[in-house]
Amino acid sequence: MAELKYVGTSVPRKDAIEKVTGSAQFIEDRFLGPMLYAKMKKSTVAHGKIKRLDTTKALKHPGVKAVLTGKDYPNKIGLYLVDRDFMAVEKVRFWGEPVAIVAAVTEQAAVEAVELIEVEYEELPGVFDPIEAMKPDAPIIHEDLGSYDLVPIFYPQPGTNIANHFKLRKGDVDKGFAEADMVIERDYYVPQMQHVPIETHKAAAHWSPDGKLTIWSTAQSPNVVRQLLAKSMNIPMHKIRIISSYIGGGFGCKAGASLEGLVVPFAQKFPGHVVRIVFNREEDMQGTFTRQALNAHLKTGVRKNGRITALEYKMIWDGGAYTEYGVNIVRAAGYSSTGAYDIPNVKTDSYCVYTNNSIGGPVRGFGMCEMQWGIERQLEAIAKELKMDPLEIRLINGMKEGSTTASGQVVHDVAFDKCLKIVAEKIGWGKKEGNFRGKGIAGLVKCPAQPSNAASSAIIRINEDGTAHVMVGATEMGQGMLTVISQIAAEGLHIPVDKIDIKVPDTDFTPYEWQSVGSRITYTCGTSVKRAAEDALGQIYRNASNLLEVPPEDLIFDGEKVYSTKDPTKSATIREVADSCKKCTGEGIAGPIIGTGSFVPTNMTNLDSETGQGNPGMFYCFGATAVEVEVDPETGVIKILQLAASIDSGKAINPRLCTTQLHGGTIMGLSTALYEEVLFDKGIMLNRNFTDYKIATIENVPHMDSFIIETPETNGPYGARGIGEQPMIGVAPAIANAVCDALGVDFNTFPLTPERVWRAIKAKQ
Amino acid sequence: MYLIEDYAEAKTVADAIDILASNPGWHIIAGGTDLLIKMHHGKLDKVQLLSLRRIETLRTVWKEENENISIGSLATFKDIANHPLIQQSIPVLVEAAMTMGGPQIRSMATIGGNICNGIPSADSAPVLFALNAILKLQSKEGERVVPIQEFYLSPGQVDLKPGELLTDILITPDNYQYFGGCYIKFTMRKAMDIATLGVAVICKLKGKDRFGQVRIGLGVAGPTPLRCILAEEYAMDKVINEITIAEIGKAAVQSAKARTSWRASKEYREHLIEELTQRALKIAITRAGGAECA
Repeated sequence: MAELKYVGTSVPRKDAIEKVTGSAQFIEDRFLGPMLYAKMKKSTVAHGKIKRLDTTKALKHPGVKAVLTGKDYPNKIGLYLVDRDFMAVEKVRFWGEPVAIVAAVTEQAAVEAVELIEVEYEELPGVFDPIEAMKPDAPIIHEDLGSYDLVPIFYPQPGTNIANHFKLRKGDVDKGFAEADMVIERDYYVPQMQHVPIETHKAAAHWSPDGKLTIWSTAQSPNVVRQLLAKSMNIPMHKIRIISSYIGGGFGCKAGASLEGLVVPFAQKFPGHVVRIVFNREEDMQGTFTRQALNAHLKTGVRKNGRITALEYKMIWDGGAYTEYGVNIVRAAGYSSTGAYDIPNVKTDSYCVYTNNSIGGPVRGFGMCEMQWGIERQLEAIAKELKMDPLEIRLINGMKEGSTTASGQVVHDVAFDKCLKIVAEKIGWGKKEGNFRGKGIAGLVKCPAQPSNAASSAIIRINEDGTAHVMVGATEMGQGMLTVISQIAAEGLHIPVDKIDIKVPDTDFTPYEWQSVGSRITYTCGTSVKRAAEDALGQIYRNASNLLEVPPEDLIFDGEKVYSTKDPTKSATIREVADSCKKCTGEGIAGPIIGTGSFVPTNMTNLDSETGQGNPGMFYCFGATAVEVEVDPETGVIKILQLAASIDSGKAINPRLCTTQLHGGTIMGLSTALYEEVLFDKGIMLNRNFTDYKIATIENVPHMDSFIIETPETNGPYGARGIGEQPMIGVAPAIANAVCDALGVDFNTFPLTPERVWRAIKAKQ
Repeated sequence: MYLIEDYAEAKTVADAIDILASNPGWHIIAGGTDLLIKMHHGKLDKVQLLSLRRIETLRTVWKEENENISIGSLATFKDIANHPLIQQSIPVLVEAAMTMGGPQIRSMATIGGNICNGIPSADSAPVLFALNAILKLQSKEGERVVPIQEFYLSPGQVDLKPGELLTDILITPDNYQYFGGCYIKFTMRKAMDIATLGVAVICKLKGKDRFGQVRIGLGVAGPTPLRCILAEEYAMDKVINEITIAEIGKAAVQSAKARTSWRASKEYREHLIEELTQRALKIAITRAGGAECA
């Protein structure tokens, strides 16, 4: 590969100046027009029939323009399984579900009117544990499950609470267990958690009398919002415009479409007004996606030499009241169910189960944190039984070039062993440092979870002065998309990054992007941008070739001018080439340069419905986390002494951004490992504020050692693969493994709160 | 929502008392770090507010001629933490003030507000309990003086009569001179957190190796902050060693009224009381001039 000029450098963030000066615009900073404010009336029971819903008093309240209920608006929405009501129709399925919505001229009037809405419920028996919900006599939450639209790669079981049953059968598990010298069987549990972005969910809608709907949204994926609303409301796509602003953090909670649909009917009722809804923190905690809780059962067969021969993995997920998105997390965890390890015989059953808890949905890691908790803790148990070094058992079974995943996909460009060794070495693996101190390690892997045809596209416009605009549909939520995409464009165009402008999307102007999720944008959007840049560069050479009468293959563009490598005196400035290029005679050669590129993965396949075999991974990104802890044996407080994380990014387009992603993901993982857990009491979320739902603060973050490994991804742009989610996956098991090493105790769940650790110590005594 | 129907700023204490006397329904706002949150959550709605922020005299910290240290109720946690007099004379109060919230909250939140809210987890309370702090209250009827232990009635309830204003917190010399102190705030994370347990211990020694007085104040160990009288009585004149310190820890638990909530179990809280009382005591001993206990 030719030497890279812009890719691989730590150029400053494109949005840095705007963000540090406070001039960056988020939705609430934008003046959108005359406003109406929307507020929701929320359910006070977790499962119940709506017996009476009276909005009369609310409608008479001063300032109120309209009140809508689920009955007025019975449309359903869903990304994979169309099971979700915008507002409850006839029955409510979780505590806090919207049952009505008010639009008023002030937010205060809307809040007051909400209080005046009268609702009576006939409470139905609720089910809050997915294992209970699978029992034959459990109350049914979705009676009409059989009639819902769905993408036909999901397998709901009508008449039950099972929204998806993903099955995977690889090799022959019975044979695998027969070959094993030892079989270990254990249960694990991962609780719900919340994303906690700094900006809550927001949306605003405007309806123009000519039938054009404009939406401003914090959605991670404007194109998916457009697609889902178009379908749900039967509006053609060219009549829907979704405008993105900077997004104050997503982490998955703003994937798909959520609250946009709530304000559309009001906008349609009051053309000329912008109707806005802003979730407060409690609504954000309780009314948007939570990470699905997981009940996991693992049975592993292993030989004395440490080689795993078989795995049976049963996962029961708490999908919550609606599983429109959650069904795919359950599928992704299923097809990845051996984690970062090559296991020849696998039987996996992964169930997505409705309960009357908050809605389950995507969170950074998309099932991998939860599923690999069991894998990594189980490896620890196996190593202990075999009296084997936990690092060694990971190296023995870890995936290598040519290994196969649970779904039988062959992986390439793998350096998992390198990821493990580098973090182990950093923390002084194998040396016991003293009482109440311990070391732990965990591996990790994730591929983007997306439909096999999830596409990206890009447009690059070259200005008359040789600067450029890059237009893509990816969103900027802090992850650094604008910067990385600009660098890829700069490399392809030979135009410096600071001469490239890029903005957040507006679906009327920016081309299609499926979703900014799944650690996929660098790879997918990046590839389309690389192609668009190559297309534009080709046009630069074609135009210059005509102008200079030099064959294009002899030309080189250095960002300022195009010249002949054979005779450098034959040259033209980029201005001459880009500004409606014409010959000295005045005859035109070519108009403005517009490069286009699009991408769809060609290496993915559907999975067999019975065996789950096939290629679901566009690329696989590996990494590892190693930790040394010291535990206070009296209070149970864990102190992190060392924390090392590695990720194989293929090629770090921007090494500094890669490192900050690695830090951010590791901190989020640490936060879930030690503090975060959503607590429910019969569906009521107890800790729905920042006093009671604790995330790590800067004071809780130890020094981190980060290692970016670069094993080029053959099909990635400049060898890159996405790393946004992955760093989070290994942290919780690595910390738990270290605490167990320190104390000789055992955990099957986290967060490792002081009291939980203290109880484990007491139980051992 | 912040629906403020009326708002006044008092310039002097007398001014404030007048306004309170003629407007009994008004709420006092000092730093606002608790009140505004209550309003935002709809627990208080359509309020009339009397702000004390312009009363500069209420913010002063000074030593009276009789060596009493007087802390104005409007002193913020940052004021207290940065005040040379408190740093020198009652460093344990600085230690407690620094555990409160984060820098922004410490700059706004006042000690008077912290006390008058009456919450069991108030960061100032365990130390002020241990210091036998005296509260000066003023109203139209005149001045009233109440020991802090009697001021806390039940969770969220304090002995503040209608029309009354907390003006000063007094610490008398017999309650701070020659004492060494330590405050341990046990939280689930290191910053921006409310206490799972707060333990304040101050002690005075007899010679190098005997306890003179030991005072233990606990937060979140019962419906109000409390003192561990049994442990304090036990400690009197005892030789300082591992055994007596352990006994003091055990005795402290007997005064507590910990209960189980989803935040922590009674059992764990009681274990923490026993353990952290000992830890705080050991540090307090060294700060009082005693030897370090292993």
